[in-house]
Amino acid sequence: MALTDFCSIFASVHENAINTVIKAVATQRPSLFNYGTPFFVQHPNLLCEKIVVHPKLPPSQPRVGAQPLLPVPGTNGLFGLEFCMQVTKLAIDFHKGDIKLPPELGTLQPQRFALAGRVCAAIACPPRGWLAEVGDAIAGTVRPIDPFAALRDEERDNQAVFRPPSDTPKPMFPVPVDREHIHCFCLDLFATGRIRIVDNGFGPRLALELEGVEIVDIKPSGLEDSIECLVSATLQLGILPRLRIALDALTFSLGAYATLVISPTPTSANVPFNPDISKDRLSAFIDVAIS
Amino acid sequence: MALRIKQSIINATEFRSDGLGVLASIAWAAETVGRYRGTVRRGDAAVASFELEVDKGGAASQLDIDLNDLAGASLGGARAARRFQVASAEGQPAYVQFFVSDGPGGYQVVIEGAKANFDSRSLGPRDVFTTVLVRPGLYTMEHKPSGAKGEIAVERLEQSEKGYEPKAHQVRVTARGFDPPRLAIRGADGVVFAVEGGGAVRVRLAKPEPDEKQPPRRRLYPEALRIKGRAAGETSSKPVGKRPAKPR
Amino acid sequence: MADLQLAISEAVVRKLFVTARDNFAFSHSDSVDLGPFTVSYSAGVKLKNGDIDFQSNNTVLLKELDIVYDPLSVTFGLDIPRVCVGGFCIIPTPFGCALRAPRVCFFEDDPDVAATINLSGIITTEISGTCGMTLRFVPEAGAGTPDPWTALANGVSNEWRLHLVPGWLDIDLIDVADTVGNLIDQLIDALVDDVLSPLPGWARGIVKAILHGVTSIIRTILDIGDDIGEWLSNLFNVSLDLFSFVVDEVAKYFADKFALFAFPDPYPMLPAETSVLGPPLVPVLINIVQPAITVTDTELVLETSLGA
Repeated sequence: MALTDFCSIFASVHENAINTVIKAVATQRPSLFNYGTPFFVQHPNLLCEKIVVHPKLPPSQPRVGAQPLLPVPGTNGLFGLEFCMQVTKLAIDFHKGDIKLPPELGTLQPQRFALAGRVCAAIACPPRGWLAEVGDAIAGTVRPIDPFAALRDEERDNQAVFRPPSDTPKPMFPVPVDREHIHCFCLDLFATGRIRIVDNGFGPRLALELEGVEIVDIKPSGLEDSIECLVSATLQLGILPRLRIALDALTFSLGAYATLVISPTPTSANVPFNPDISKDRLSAFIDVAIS
Repeated sequence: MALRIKQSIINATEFRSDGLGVLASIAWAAETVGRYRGTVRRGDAAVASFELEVDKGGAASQLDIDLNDLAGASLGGARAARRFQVASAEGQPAYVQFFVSDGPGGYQVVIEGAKANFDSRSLGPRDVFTTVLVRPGLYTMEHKPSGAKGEIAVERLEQSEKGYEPKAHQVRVTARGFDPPRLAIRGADGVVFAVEGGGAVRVRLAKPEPDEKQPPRRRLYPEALRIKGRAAGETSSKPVGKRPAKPR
Repeated sequence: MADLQLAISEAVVRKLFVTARDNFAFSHSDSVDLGPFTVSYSAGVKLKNGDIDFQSNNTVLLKELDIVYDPLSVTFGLDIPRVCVGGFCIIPTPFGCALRAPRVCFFEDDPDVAATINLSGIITTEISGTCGMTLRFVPEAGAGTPDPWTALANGVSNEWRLHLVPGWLDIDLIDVADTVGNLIDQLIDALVDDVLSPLPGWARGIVKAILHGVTSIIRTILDIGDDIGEWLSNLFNVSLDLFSFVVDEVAKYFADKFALFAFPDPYPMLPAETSVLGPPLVPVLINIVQPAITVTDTELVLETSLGA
């Protein structure tokens, strides 16, 4: 039986090849996997894990994805903490699956992929005496007012009165970093998902869709769930949208080269899944409109 | 590329023994051995001269002299007279034949020797005047000074398997006139005049045959010629890059 | 099994072949002296029709690819025999001709005719043969400098190119239409009429008659026998060597000049992009490692490993 019995072009990629691509993305687009506030953007060597960059990557390409400061609650946006976050050692595994998934994710189902990796993060704390000093200064700004004024919101120029964020954004002062107090931690990350072919106007592309995310063994469970939520959001909003491989890319751009109109083969009895994930491979069935 | 045709041939419509032009010739029977001096004239002007030696028992019994060539050489500044030689064979005279290959014609030839002479303006009994009539139509023939007249009808020369095989039609000019008085010949045949009483013969195109219409320019674009491939297996395979040896 | 396996159906490769075929065009001129006549030609060559058929032994059959010669302008230079009148015997004798009329020739110089015939789009040869498919690495000077992304953006990149490599190619000839003989005759007549057209009709007739039938004389000069097709074939194929030259050019075109398919190495697996999520990012480049192709009777399979 021929590979193109039910399609015009058949492309099949082993999970090792996808992992090669992921590694290439990590070294050529490091800012997709390494994030940090301005301090860490300027000092990428202080992130938790060393950033491996392609030796010839142009200097114009960011090494760290710039993030805003983490606001210190209670300071009304006045102060922000420097932090960094990294997703490292990301690897994909297609069904049947070699990665031992945590029990929460169960066994890898047919037509599914598993992701394994590490999430490392750190909040950069200030030097010891700084908080006390600045706390005293802030305390100095707290003054008593008439209770009715507090109720009526008459004293608009009273900066202690809460106002919802609007008008002119206030500058956030970064809490200075004590390099001895960059507290890194790393957590093992697992995820499962499926792959669909979607077209957002730039041609059909392979999109990874997560179904389950698990950070291993953090207590209490609420903390674990919260971190899983943050990681899941980072993956699904920040990283995976920029990891969609064009269907034509699997054909080495044969469609563009030969001005062919390519489209995914519709599923049928002969092509029950498109793409197909099985036997450690991702396979795509592609039709070509030949004029 | 257009061929350069001799317009003198295209335009020739009158052929005179006393003013020789293209498509006509006069042959003098040189019976007496000796040296002669020849003069070529056009009207009153002498345009060339030559020396002629007539021998016996040599190789060339016919000498052809192109008067246009002679006159042209003289015009070109040749000072020395051309020398010709001819020899008679056993039992027959040598012939010196004058003709014109090109040009306006109108030549007369006078040859003087110790024991004989020749003047093309008046033909002797053994002189021969020949004309080749290529253009179809009706020609008149006239003898001066007798005034005898005759006609020659020239038919269009058609292509034939045998190609061009011209005939020579003999005409005698006597006191009674032309014999035969009328001829019908094919185009490019020859008419040979033997004149008994001297004088000159003139042949003139009186009524040309209407010219055939110019054939329409045919397209040099033949219809499609397709050379198709043979069935597979029936091949004279040649590897790419090796060309068959050229036959020449 | 390889990291990446790409199978392309025969129908898709056929489309690639059609694109390659339609892009083919070249022109050539040459001349040869064949003794009594010279021939020169100027030919523009295009390809039409044809098909490819995958075979199970890793080869591709190239079938009935037409080579169209358009424009094809052929100029014959002929030495026509002298056209003269006269030469007949004036005074015949039992011992031979005593006096023969002079020969007077119609043309000022030795007639030399040249005429150009337009055979554009009229002659088509057909080639068939067995080909292989090969994937060739073509390095480009300057690839990777100053860095792979800048080089790629400048269009400077090493490439892998898929070529159809003809092995044995045949030009086969079959029957020529019966009308060809008449066409050649008409052609020759028209040729001579064209050349003689300045002459009055009666003179043309004389010239033609003296030439013993123009058709036969020119056919004799050109050495056209009974088989016009064979004569034309010999003229173009053997004497002018045109067909075989063109076959070589076609073979070189597919084997070297025009790739059915090509892609750069390193290959941009993800294109350069910009988004609301951050600054523009360069393409993600992947090295192609040891690609190989196989041809079955239904598809072409490319297998390769990938390197970061």
